[in-house]
Amino acid sequence: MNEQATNQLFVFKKVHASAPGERDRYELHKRIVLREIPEFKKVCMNFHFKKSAGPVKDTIIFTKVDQIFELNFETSALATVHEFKTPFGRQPLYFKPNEDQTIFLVASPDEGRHLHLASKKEIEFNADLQISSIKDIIYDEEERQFLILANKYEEKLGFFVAKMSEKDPGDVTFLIKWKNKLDIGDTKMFVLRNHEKGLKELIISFKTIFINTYNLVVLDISVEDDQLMIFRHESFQLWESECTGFLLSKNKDFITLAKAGMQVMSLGEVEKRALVDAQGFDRMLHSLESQNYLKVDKNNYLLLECGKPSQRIISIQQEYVKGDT
Amino acid sequence: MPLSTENLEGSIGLELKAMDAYLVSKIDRVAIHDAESFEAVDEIPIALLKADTREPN
Repeated sequence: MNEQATNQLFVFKKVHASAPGERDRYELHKRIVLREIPEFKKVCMNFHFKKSAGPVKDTIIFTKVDQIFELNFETSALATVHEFKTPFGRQPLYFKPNEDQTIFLVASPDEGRHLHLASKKEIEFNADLQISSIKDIIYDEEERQFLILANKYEEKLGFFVAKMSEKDPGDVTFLIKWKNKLDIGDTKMFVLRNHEKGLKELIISFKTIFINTYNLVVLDISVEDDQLMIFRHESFQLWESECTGFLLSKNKDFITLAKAGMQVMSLGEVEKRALVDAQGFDRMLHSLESQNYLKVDKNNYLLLECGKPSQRIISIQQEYVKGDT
Repeated sequence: MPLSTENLEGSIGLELKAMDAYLVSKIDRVAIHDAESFEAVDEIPIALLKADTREPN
């Protein structure tokens, strides 16, 4: 795969609204042309502001094939934070720190490493977990653990999510092992919390090859259970076309961005909301949770398929463990 | 439910929790949308460099 090269870095600063009713806005603070800096080769596109004692931040942490380094965007000074014992075989795609930025997970699709910065201890976790084709990594600050999504487990294609303790990379539990024999892409994971109800859900979105669907899977991770899935929503998405999705915590809405435009799906508790759609028509947005009454058993999950363009098929299904998967 | 029919292939989205808003990148600008109404409320222009490969910006 060709390198995804860095080009420019824009740093914007938030300017608070001066009058009531006005919105905060962002002002350009610094612009750095990264492609003119020789060190910026095979750099991961995930980067993080370095934590500082005060509110002012002036440093960004990056990773690339052979090291983790930082850039002070005020002075343009570069400094190596950690040099990997062996460089990655290709450009890392995932770079996630823990809350205090003392532990990092760095991964390319084929290699995943857990790094404890103070002790400089690096542990390759993908071989021990028998996973490859890593698709996303997120950090859950409440549980102090990383969540890893992979497309391959024991060399078999599917959809596999593991949670790893930030302190002990050997402490790993798989949340789901689902062998569907399909490549997945454009993957994203999010954790959705409801502190009042004590609920915690993991939202995973991905597109699948051959069947050309964009899937949104909701898992209940607040319970220790084998049957975590609550919903699976499918919509049409051409494999060759890029798409992405993200969660809005305000109303628990999931937004997808694709060639067809911007779409919204409600995952929250509010049963329905009146909105105006892209054509200016008044529409009622119903939450996926509002269809929970269809479940026969509490361990059922709802599958909302896009079998035909004009129809949506809702199936009530049950997850179960067969052998190891 | 469709909120826009503009081609957003390759765009990136990001939530701004403190502002009840979200960002959507669109080649040479970043649109800011309200997280409640989904309406675009502001826009940040991005000055692109001239492409030095055959791939367009």
